[in-house]
Amino acid sequence: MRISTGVARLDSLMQGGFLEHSFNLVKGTQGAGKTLFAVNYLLHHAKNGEEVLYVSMEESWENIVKNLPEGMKKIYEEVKERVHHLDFSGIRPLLGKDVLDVNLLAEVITTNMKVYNANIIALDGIAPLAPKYGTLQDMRTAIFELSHRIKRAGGTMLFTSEGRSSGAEEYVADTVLILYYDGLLRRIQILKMRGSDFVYGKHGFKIGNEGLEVYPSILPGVSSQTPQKMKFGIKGMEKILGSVYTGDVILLTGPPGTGKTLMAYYFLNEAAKNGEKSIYVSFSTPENVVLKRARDFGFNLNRCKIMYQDPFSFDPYEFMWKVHKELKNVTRVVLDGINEVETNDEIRKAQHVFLKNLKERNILTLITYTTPVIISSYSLGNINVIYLADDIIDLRYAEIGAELRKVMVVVKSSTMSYEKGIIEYDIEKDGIKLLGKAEYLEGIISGIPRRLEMKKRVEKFFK
Amino acid sequence: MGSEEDKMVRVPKEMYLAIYEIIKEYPHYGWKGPSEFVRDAIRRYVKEIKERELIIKKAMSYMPQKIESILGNFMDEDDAKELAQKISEIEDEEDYVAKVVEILQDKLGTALAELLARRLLEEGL
Repeated sequence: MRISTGVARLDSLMQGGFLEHSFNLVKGTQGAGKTLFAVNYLLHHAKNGEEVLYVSMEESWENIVKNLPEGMKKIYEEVKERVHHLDFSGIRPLLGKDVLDVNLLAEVITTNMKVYNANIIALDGIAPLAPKYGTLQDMRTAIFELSHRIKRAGGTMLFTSEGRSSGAEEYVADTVLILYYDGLLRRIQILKMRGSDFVYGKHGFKIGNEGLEVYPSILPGVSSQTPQKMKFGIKGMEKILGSVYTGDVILLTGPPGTGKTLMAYYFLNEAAKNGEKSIYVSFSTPENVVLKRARDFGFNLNRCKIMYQDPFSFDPYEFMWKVHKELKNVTRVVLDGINEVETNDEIRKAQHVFLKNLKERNILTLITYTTPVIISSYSLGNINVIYLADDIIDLRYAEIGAELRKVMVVVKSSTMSYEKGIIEYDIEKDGIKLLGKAEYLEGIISGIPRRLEMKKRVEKFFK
Repeated sequence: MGSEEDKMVRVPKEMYLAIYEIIKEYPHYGWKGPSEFVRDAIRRYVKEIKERELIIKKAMSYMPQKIESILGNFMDEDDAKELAQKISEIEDEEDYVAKVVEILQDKLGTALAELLARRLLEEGL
């Protein structure tokens, strides 16, 4: 039988939670959230009608409750009849070091487990026990004795310990969870779980108002379905891009002002026309501005969930789960301006997992990426997701007839029948117009094209 | 020297011999003989009993409040109150500390109950 950790998504990473009658360590530096983890564990079970016991060696229970997030405080108020506490900091001034004894501690805890019929226990901070048990071996024996007595009494205990270095407690614990916090992002890692499989690696972790949230680095898989043909949403685009299918990832690159966001609106409008749900994520524009702009262009985004993600407070795992929550019955997703997000290994991993999941779900995805160079320099930019893109459309500027005109080129298509030529397009009052191939020019990609000589044009005509 | 008012007390021979040995072993106490030793021992013991009774009486007056205030910071306040109430209901001075421990151990376990009762008693000295 499994005992929930109090965090549903964490349970899913460890086959349902802690093993019943086990001794489980939560380790981390100061401020990593160990105490809140312990309280969250207890409140979860108290909410389910179980009697729970909190044992503190250092901080007073009163102080802990005072510092809980408001939502957790409210939950505590609702269930406090079932939350019992033993606060050793309250009796240490009178009883001194004599109270820091594992046998005494085990007897007090097991006595109270019986009194309250509580099998869910959290022991917060075992550091004060260390001075009495000088060597690692002594400490290990002492913690083993404590764990043995709690388990024998029927308890499933969570205990917390500070620091990252490996200590005696890790040897004894059945499960070891490590909490990381660098001042910006929180991470949780399952380091060990005796007799059970678990998902390796670090996962997102957040202290919310009503408790803890874990954002796994993986997403639930779905059985793949047969791809269906889809329309991009811009008249004539299929001729250029070839066929687009559900589950495809389309990458749209280009410098600012080439109409990437506008094309994204067309893409979403196509879903709205078919009565389908879609999601638009902007990394640069707040929701209300997106809505206003789309409306100004005459697009209907009523069935579209618009989300703004601040790129400076971007947690890739939290982000992918936030979007994942909204994916039910969604057929299209737009990620507008992913260039705003800085990249690192974790973000690359999350993008991979997220896009792969969208593919599995048969969701057609459009990603826009703003390249920094306005003219010339044939580079798509440093795009992490390029290998996951089924179709790549590059938008560029070309200086034609003393004008900065717009062209697009399909760099990659999932089908063979796509337009290899360079297409000129324009953004007019009533939207995007595809003007056709710029056959009379060469060197467009350089940004400064030249007119083809008449001979070449005739040759090309007869070909 | 004895007076006419003095009363005789009998002690077993082994005890008398043990007293004799003590007097011999620790002459610096100045006991002149077994009678003086016994008188001294009785004086000391009576004093100790009176003191102890005084301590217990005193402890009976402060123990419930102390228990409530200390355990109120340790465990559920209602439980601390309940324990203090039970302790305040002890009327008999005989084995008072043992009775306090008996009440406390139901919720604290024997080790902590004994430690707490002992410390509170020491605090009152």
